[in-house]
Amino acid sequence: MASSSFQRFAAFAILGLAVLLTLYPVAWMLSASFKTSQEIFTTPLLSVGAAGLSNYTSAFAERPFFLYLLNSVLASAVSVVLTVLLSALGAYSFAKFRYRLAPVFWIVVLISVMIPLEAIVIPLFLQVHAFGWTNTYAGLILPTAFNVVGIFIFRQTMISIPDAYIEAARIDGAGELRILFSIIMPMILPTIVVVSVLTFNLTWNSYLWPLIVTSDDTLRTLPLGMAAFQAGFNTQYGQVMAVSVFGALPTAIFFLSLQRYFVEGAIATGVK
Amino acid sequence: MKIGKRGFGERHIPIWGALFALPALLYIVLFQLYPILFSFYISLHDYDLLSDPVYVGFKHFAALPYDRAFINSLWITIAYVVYTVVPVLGLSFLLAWALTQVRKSRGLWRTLLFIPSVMPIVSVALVWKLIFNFNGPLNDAVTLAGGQAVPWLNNSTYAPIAIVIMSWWHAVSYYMIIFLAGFLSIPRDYYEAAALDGARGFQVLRYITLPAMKPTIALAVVLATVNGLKTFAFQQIVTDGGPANATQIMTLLIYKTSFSYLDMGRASAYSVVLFGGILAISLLQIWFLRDRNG
Amino acid sequence: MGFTKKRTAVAALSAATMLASVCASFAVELTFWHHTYPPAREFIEKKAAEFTAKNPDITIKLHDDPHGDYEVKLLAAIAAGNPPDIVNVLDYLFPQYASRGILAEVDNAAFGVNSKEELEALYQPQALSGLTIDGKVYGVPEEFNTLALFINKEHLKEIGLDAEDEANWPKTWNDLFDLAAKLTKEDGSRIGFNWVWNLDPYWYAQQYWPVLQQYGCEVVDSEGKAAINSDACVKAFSETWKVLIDKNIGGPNMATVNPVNALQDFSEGRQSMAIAGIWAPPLFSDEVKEQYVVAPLPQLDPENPKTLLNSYALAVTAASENKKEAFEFLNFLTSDSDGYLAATGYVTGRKGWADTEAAKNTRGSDIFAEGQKHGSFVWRSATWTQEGNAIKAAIEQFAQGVPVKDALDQAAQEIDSVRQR
Repeated sequence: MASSSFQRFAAFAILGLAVLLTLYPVAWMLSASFKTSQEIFTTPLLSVGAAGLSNYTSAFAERPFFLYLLNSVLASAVSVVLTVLLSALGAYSFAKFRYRLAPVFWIVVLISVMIPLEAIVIPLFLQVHAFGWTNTYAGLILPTAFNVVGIFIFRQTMISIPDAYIEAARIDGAGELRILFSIIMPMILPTIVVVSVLTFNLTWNSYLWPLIVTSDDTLRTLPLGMAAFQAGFNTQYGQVMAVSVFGALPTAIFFLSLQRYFVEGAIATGVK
Repeated sequence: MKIGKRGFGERHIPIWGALFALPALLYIVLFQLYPILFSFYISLHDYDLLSDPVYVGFKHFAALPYDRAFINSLWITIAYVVYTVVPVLGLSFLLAWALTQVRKSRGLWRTLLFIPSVMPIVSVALVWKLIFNFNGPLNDAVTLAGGQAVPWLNNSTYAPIAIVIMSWWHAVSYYMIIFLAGFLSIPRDYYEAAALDGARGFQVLRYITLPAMKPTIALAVVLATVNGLKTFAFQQIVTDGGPANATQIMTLLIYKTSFSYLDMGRASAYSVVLFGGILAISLLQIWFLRDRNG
Repeated sequence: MGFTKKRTAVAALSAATMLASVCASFAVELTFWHHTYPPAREFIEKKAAEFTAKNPDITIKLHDDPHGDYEVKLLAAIAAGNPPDIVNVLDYLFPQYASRGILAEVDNAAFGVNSKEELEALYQPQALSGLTIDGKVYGVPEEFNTLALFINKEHLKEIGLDAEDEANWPKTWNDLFDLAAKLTKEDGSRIGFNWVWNLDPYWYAQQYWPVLQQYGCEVVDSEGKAAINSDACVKAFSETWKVLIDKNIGGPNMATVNPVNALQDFSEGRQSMAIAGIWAPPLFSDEVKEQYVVAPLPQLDPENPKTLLNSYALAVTAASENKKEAFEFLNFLTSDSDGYLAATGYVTGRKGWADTEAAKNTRGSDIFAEGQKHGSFVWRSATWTQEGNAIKAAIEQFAQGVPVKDALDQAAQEIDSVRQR
C-alpha cells in the first residue's frame, strides 16, 4: 500500500500511544511486585520498591507454586493436544466431505461454542462425579479441555487447501487418516499454532471448573493457587502482584516464542 | 451455512467424513450438550441443589418480566456488550491499520501490543482494581491534570465505565490480530489499481479496504459480542457485581443465583435466556457470512 | 476372555471388596474442608496428628479453599451427594443448610454430655444459639466472636489524647464521629474512622447489625415481613453510616479497595479507628501491631450495650458415614481453647476461654469477653444471602446520595419478594 508520510506519521503516533497505554498497567504490576503495601500507592511507578524480592520469596515459601505451575502446564498441554486432534478431525470432516448428517453435526458444534460455563457447571459436575472423576487429573482436565473454536479455525484453513492435493494422495492409495495427518496438517502448521495458543490461554485462565472439581492441594492449578494465596494470612498486595507476574510468564513465553507463526496463522486461517 | 460445499460430494466415501466428526461430537454431547439440556430441564423445576427437583412448568420464565434483578442484569449486559464491542473493534481496527503502515520492526510493535491478551485474567483484574482505587495511580493522573478524583469502583455510574475500560485494554489486541490478518490478506493489486485511478486516503479505505474487510469485520463483531455476553471474571473479581448491583452482568447473576441463593430453577431460566441471546446473535453471523466461505 | 480367567477375576474382585469392607470397619478417614487460613490449617493438622495417635484407626484429611469459593465448592459436592465429613460453615448459613437437611445434629455423647442443655453448659451463654435451628444444635463454634473498636494509639497521641485511658474512648457513635473528625487529615493521608466497604453482604451485616439492634430496628418483623425501611432503621442508618459520609469523615471513596484485607487502611496505619474482631491483629502491619488499643464497641446507649455475635462454626454433614468419629474429633479439637487462641486467634466459645493463658496474653480479651455477653447473632433466614444482598445494595446506594429511606424501601421490597417465593 502506498502510504503518504502523513499516514505513516499518524500510524506511529497511534502505535506509540497504544503501546504506552498497553504497557502502563504491566509496568505497574511489575513495579508493585517489588514494593511493600505502604509503598504501592505512595511511590511513583519507576521507584524501586523496598520489598526487593521478598514478595516473591514469601509467596513461594507459603505455597507450592511450582507444583501448581506444573498442573497448569499439564492441563493446558493436554487441552492443546486434545483440541488440535479433535478439531483437525472434525474440521476435515466439515471441510472436505459432504454427507447428510453434516448440517446437524454443524449445528451441534455451533451451539457448543455459545455455552457459558457458569450456566452448565452444576450439571457438568454431577456428570463428572458420576464418572468417579472428581478430584482426579481426568476430572480436572478432560471436561473442559476441548476448545471447540478450534474446529472453526481449522475448517477455515482446510477449505482453502485445493482438493487436488487430496485427490492425488487418494489416487496414490493413501488412507484418509494419513492424508489428514501427513499431508494436510504439515501444510497448516501456522493454524495449529493459532489454535494451540488460544487453547493454551483459555485453559490457563480456567478457574471455576478446577475449583469445583478438585479438593487436593496437589491438584491445584495456578489460578487456584493464586486465589488461595491471596486469601491467606496477612497477604500483601505486592505479593499478589508478584504471583500475578509469575502466572503471566508461562503464557507470555509460550506466545512470544510462537508469535511469528501466530500472525501468519491468523492470516492463513483466512479469518477474512 | 453450506457444509462441505467444496467437498468431494458423491465421488468419495462420505462415511469417513461422518466418522471423523464423531470424536468431537461425542465430546461435545458428553460435556456440553448434555449439561445444557439438563439446564433446560432444570429451568422447568424448583431445584435447590440439595433436594429433588420439583416440576413447576414455566413458572420461572413467567416470573422473569417482574424480576428486578434479572431486568437489571439484562440491561447491564446489553450496555456492557455495546460499550465494549463498538470501541474495541474500532480501536483494534485502527491499530491493525497502523501496523500495516509501518515497515520497520512491525513484529516488535505487534508483540508489545499483544501482551494484554496473554496476561492471566485474574492478574489483569487485580492490577486494574488497584489502578482504579480512589487513591490509585489513575486518580493521581486525573488530579495532576487538574481534575477531581473519580470514585471509579464505588459509584454506580463509574464502576461500569471502569469495567468497560479494563475490558478494552484486555480485548483490543486480540481483535487487532484478526484485523491485521484481514488487512494483510487483501491482494496488493487492489490498492495498485485504486492508486492508478487516483483514489487517495479515505477513498481507499471506503472503496477498497472496507469492502474487502467486510467478512472479517462481521466475524469480529460476532466473536466480540459472544465473548462479551459470556464475560464473567472482571465483574466478579473487581466489583463482585456492585456497587448496588451496577455491574451485575448476567453470568454473574446466574452464578450467584445458583450458588449463593441455591435457586437453580431460576438460574437455569436465566441461562436459557442468555443462551437464546447468544444463539440468536450467532445465527445472525451465519446469515451474514453465508456466501463467503472459501 | 476365557471362562476360567473370568471366574478368577470375579473371585479376586469379590475378595478385594470383602477386604475393603473389612478394612473400612476399622480404618476411618475423615475429610475436613475448611476456609483458607494458614494458621488454622497448621493447628488443625497438629491436632489431627494427636487425635490419630490416640485413635490409630482414624485419620483426618484436611482441604482448604478461600472463603466464598469454598462455599461454592461445598454446595457442588453436596449436590453430588459426596460432601466431606466435617465442614466449616458461617453461622448465617445454618438456617439455609439445616432446612435442607445437610447438617447432622450434634452427637451429645461425643462431647461427653447427655443432653442439649449439658452441651450448652460447656459453652458461653448464647454461643450455640446461632447454630441452633428449631431447637436442634447443628454445629459448634470454631470461632465465637464479637466486635470491638480498635484504636491506633499513636494517632490519638498526635492530637494529645492517651488511648490507654478509658476516659478517652468514644462511648457513643456521636463520640466516635467527633473523635474521627479530629483525627482525619484533610489531605487524605489519614482517615479517622471508616466502615468496611465493597465486601460481601455478611461483612456489611457484621458492622450494621449491632447498630440496628441498638436502634431497635428489625430486618424482618415477627410476621415475616421486611421491616428494614421502618423509622427505626432509617434513623439507625442515617445517624451512623450516612452521617460519616455526609461529614466527609469516611465513606467508600476513602477506603482502599482490597480483596485481600478488609481492614487494610487500619492495618497500614492510614486509618485511626476500625471495628474488628479478636482475629484482626495478625492482619496488622508490624508498626500497627505495636500501637493498637482495644475499646468496647460504641453504643447508642452505653448503659444498655448491644453487640454482635458471630461464628465460623464446625459441623458434620448428614451424609457422613462416620458422624460419631467426626464429632469426637470436633470435641477433641475445640476443647483446646488455649491452643486454638494461641495458634490462630480463634475463640472457641467454650466456658473459661477468657481465663486461658493465651487469653491473658491477648490484648483486649477482657473487652471481647464482656462484649460476648451483650451480643446477638444476625437475623436467621433460609434466604439470608438474598436479604443481606438487598441491604448491601441499599447501603451502597445511599452512600452515593440516594435518600436513606428510598434505598431501604427498595431493599424491603426485594426482601419481601424473595420471601414470597
